[in-house]
Amino acid sequence: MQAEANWFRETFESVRREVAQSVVGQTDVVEGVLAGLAANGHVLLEGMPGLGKTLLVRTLSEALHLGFSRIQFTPDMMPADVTGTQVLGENRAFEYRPGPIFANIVLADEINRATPKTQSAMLEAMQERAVTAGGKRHLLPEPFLVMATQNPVEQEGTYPLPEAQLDRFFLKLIVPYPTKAELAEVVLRTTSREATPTQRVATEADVLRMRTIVRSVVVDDDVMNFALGLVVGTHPDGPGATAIAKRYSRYGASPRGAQSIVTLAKVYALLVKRQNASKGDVLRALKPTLRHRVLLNFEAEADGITADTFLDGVADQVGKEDRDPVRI
Amino acid sequence: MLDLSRFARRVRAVRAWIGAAMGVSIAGILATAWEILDWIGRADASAIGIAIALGVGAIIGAIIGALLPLPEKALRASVDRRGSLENRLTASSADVPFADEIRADAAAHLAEVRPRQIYPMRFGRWQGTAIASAFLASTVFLLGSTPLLLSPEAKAAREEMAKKAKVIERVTKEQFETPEAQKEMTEGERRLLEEARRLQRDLEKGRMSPEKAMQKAHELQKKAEDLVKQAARDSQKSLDQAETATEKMERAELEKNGLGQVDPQLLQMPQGQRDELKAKNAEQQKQLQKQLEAIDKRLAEIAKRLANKGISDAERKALEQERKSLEEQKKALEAEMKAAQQLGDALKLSDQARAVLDKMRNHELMKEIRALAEKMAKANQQANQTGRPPFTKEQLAEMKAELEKLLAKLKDDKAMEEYLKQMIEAMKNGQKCQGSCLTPGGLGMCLASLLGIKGNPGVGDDGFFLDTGHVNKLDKPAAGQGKTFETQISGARRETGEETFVEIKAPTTIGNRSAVPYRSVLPSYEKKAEQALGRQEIPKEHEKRVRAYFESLTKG
Repeated sequence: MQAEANWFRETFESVRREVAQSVVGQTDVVEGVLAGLAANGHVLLEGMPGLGKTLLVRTLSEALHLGFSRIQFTPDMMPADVTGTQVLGENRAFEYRPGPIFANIVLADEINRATPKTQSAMLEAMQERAVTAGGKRHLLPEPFLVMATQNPVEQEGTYPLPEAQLDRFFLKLIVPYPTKAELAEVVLRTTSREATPTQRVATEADVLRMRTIVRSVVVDDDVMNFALGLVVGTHPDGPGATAIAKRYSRYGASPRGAQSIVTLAKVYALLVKRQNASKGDVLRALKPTLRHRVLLNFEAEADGITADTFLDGVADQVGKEDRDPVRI
Repeated sequence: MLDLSRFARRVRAVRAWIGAAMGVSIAGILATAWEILDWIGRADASAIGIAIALGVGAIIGAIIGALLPLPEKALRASVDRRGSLENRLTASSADVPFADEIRADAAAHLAEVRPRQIYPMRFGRWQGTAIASAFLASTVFLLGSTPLLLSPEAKAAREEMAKKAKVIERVTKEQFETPEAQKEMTEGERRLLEEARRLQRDLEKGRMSPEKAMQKAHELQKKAEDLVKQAARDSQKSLDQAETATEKMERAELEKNGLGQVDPQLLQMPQGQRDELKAKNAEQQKQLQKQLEAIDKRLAEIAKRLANKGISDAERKALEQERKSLEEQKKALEAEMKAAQQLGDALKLSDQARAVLDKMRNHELMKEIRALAEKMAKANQQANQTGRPPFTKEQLAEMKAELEKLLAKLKDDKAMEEYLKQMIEAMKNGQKCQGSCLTPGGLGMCLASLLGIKGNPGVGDDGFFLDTGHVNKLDKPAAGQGKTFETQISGARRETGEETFVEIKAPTTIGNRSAVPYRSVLPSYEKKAEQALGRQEIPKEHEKRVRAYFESLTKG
């Protein structure tokens, strides 16, 4: 297992290094996307336009030598534009023409601009990893990763993803603005020299192997209880509800949230060549996996409580209750 | 399984360290409470006691801390957390195919963790509390014990009391804390001793005013005297039993010599009286004999004359009448004679019995025993009257030894043995009331003398106004105009025994009668007394006395 963990770490690092050749900075986002890929989970990116989201996905697909497609969602887009459609073929028979979702890595750009109908079709395909058209079920390729983006500023003419849909995303990553140094590097790379072609550093099989390794990471009872305590701690009521959740939470994280936090913690453990997840890993996985799964109430909004600050509060309270079992 | 014993040892050591601090903290608080109780006279705290309390608290706390349960699972989780092992230890118990690898990884990381780093012996809040608590206890004790805060007079008085306390301590230790004394001590003596010790402690700690101390000493003296009297009564009872045993022994001796029928009254009759009785008896017998002989002679003459036929009928009749009368007299005299002879015989028998008893009583050993018994009876009588013992402890021990020696000599004689045993019992009882300053009675006298009471203190008939307390005169005597003398003294006496008074002078003439008749002023004096009672100037226990005084005057 240690060898597997080492291989995981090396492969992960090599992909990251290769992506870093093209994408400047955004290390957490890159790591999160790679973690989503390794954990077999879809990623929701939230950030302003022009921060390199498309570049990241494209580079990633190139580094892994995976199929890539980009869907720019608009209000007039129909579900068939995403999943594919039946067309009359040359032999005068209907044949299925796959939509852009049939790729290993799909960038669903500004998904909140699509109508709920289209969003629903997209998210159903994400969940089922298959598309049904003309009564026939078409499996999506493996590995399959959707990276959806949302523009947090422009709210006019958008259809915010409902909570049930958001829950289908494994992670939600916030794409920050680059720092001044990073920005300088971006400007330098794009204005003074040719872009370096991305090398293939891993294969489709490697991704599948990484997923197997992630599953084998040990999560002991102590860590599991801690992770579940955090998830339950987001609920506004119930025996494990924290004080902050009772005050600010409308809905807490779902069971998918518990699955996600533990899985991401496993990935983080492997990144440090550890064969077991720790509470530190769980805490690190808390915000990316749960920030889109908690729905805060009006009081939270009035008090300026964001999902991240709310989760910090939950972590703080659950951490206080998680005392050293040896009382000294 | 990973070996965590070194961490377990460290945890127990740290817990012991904290437990000791907690123990000292609690002990310090309890010690402070103890000292506060000591201040108000409800307990007796000492420096050694407080130090022991703190030490015992520390030890008990340390032991409890070290022995608290330490589950393996909890220790693993704790080491994991404190050693930043990222749950490697908790995961090492997972049942997975590569468990060995996880364990090896955990062991490798565990090797870098030192127990003292993750479980440091800090100077934390409990240690701080322990120091504060011990400091508080020490401060309270020193404040209560040090004479620094007292006035010079109070300091001197306290020192004086402390000196007296030392003497009481010495006396009680010397006389009562010997194994022999402990063994023979009665319940009453124990209580008395306990009270004496309490008095000693109160004096040591300055919790008692000299007046109170003297009152207490009087109380103890009274109790000691009662104990002495009780012991004297017990001793006398034993002596009486010994006397009964003697009587039994003497009776047996007489029966052995065939003198069982001897009249006890004659036996106990004093010698002079006996001699007198004997002489009277002999004289009586002699007289009776003479009278009987005279009657016999006359009767013979009458018989002779009656045999003569020449006498007249009237003469015959007179002679026969005389004979009849003489015969009756003779009968009566013979009865008297018989009684006198019986008394003579009884006296002879009693003489023999007396000789037997004298022989027995004149035995050297018996003489010694009797002398001792008499001495003891006299001592008991004295003790019962005065409440004070006549013998020293050494004298008593000597007497007892002597009796035991006699017992050994006479042990073949059962009656004598019983007698001597009773005597020794009496001696034991008597011993309880012996010795000046050595026994309960002595202790009471000793306390009284220590506290300045000489001999029988001036106790009033009703027990009031012992010569205790201070008398403060509030005004300076100043001569009034003309021939002035004290005509009135007014004042008050407090519960503590302190007395204040004012002399009131008024113009009077020496030798003349008072200008105002006593009966005229009595109602106003009585009223003043009643007012004083109402104002509580007169101690409660003396109110009755004041009322009784005025009532007696009014009645008169």
